[in-house]
Amino acid sequence: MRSVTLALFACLLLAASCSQYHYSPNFVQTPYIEKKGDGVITAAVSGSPVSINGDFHVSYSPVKHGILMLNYFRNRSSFENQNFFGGPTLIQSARGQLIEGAAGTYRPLAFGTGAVYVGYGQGKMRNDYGIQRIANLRLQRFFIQPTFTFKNDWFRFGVGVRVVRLNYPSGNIDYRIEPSDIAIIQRLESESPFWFPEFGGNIGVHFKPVTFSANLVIVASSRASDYGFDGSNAGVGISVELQELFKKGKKKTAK
Amino acid sequence: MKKLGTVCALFAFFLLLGACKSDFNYYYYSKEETEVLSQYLNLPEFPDDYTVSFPTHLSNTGLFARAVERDKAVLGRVIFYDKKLSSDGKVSCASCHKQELAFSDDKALSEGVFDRATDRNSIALGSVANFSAYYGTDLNGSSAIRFFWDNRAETAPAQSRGSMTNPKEMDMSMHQIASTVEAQPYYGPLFKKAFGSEVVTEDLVLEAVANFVNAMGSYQSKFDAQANNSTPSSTGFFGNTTFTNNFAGFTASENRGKTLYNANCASCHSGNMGRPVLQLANNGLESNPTDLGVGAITGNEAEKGSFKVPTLRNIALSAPYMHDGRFANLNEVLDFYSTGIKSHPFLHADLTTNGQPKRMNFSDNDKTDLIAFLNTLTDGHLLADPKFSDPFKQ
Repeated sequence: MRSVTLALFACLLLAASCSQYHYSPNFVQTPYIEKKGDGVITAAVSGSPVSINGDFHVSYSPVKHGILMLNYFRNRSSFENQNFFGGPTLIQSARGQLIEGAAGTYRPLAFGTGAVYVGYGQGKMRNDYGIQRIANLRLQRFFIQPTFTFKNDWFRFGVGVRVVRLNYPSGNIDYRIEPSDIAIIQRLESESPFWFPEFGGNIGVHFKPVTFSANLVIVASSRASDYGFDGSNAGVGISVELQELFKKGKKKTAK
Repeated sequence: MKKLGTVCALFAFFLLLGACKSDFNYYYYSKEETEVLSQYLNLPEFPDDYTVSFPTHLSNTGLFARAVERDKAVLGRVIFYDKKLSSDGKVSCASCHKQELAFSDDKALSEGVFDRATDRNSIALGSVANFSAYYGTDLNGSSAIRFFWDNRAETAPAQSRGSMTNPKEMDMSMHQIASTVEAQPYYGPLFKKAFGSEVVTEDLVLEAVANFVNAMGSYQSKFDAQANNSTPSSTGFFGNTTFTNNFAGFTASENRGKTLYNANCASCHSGNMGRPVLQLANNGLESNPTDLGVGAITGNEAEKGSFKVPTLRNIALSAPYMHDGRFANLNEVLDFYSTGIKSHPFLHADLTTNGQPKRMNFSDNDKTDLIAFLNTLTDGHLLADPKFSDPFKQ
């Protein structure tokens, strides 16, 4: 399992060949929570053909069938653009972050657990097109996200659909950016907000209280490339289930 | 159920919260830069787009326009029109390449500094986008079209250097050009936009001019509009397609002219006006030419008396014709090809019949039809496009 995980991570880093982008999806979080008092903390790294990302996630159930979620996501890309026509090589980069909160409700099903979340977050994307040509965009994301999770002693499996409403309320853009890139930004300005679904899932092995997982999220928009969206992310994560961690701690204390 | 209702209500609330339209702020020149530039230049608040897009009938053949970098083209436009960059302060690139004439000149031999006559007729730059276009990835290889009548410059920067330093044209050294540019307050902001720094070098000056010149394209002519809606009947070397069927939007005379053109001219100048098929040719202007053209540069005996084969885009505007401007109008050109081609050992094969100079023997009607067709190659958009006009305040 360890070698598979390492190989997957290496592939992701190699795949990060990088370009400018204006949105990158974080993982569709599917916390394995079944009762009041359960909680999960997750950290994950991921990559796509254009970016390398970090995900941080906390969720907790303060009341029966109720859940709160907090996600923090960072993404970045940095690369040299060889000028095909003999000009100078440009050092270009993109980086962004998103912080969001969500509330949801979960129900045990005959097999596994079903949940629905509603969330809102804000973030920013900063693209540097070289020679200090920068586009700073603010973004807002609302989402509604049904999920299904299944867990047993050794195994975790979760899938979800995040229906996203992505809005770019403001931006500060250097017009020296190449016309083709300006055209993408103007498209974001005129056509925002965007509605699209994102499909995500994860599969993991569990060693109490820790889960090692492989994650995938895909932006299901046929026009993702027209808007400079990063179309997918894949990566690995590590989660700690708080109820198990504290139960272990209590056992040790009792001994 | 109640909880689901709460979730939906929350979601609707968030949607309302974020319903505002986007408010993007684009910036290009700073306030200080605008203050400096506006004293000397009429430039738009945001730079013009110099992207060159070929018509589909050309791009379908695999012909690509060389990419133009907009900010460099904006700077190049100012340099192109700046008379300070000549030894008498009265001549700029635009003096011999006038926009209203498709960036050609109406004089047989153009005039440089101190009214000195130059050696040759000014080539129309209005179709440089076609010159510098390329097929596939061959940028500067065998398919590159060279500059000047004698093909001595491989690229647009080399062509600009040649004209700026020619004693009969602008008569400056490149060092003088760079120093003069550096001394003008309006170049600082433009260099910063184009190259990220106000430092002026000879190569950067040439690169900027090349970007402006490479953006000059004539691809919105009547011919292009018709060709876009037609299927070519044959495809030759380097995507040189030919349209033998009549164009629906052409007059009968224009279509007859097209047929005559395909039969007599297209094998050198190209059937789709993409790029000339030949880089150079001896067209029999003289049996014993004094101007050896390409041969004077290469020393190759077979090329003595040969000259660049130009594109015929905007040909109706670029009189007088030939490298020395010897023909005042298109009628004289057609008279020459009709009965005037002279014998030469290296006369191009397409202009010979049984080893003798070809006589195309155009009738008066043929000439009228051919000229009607050649007029369809005029692109009025280029002649009136403000982004190619003189930016200096008079």
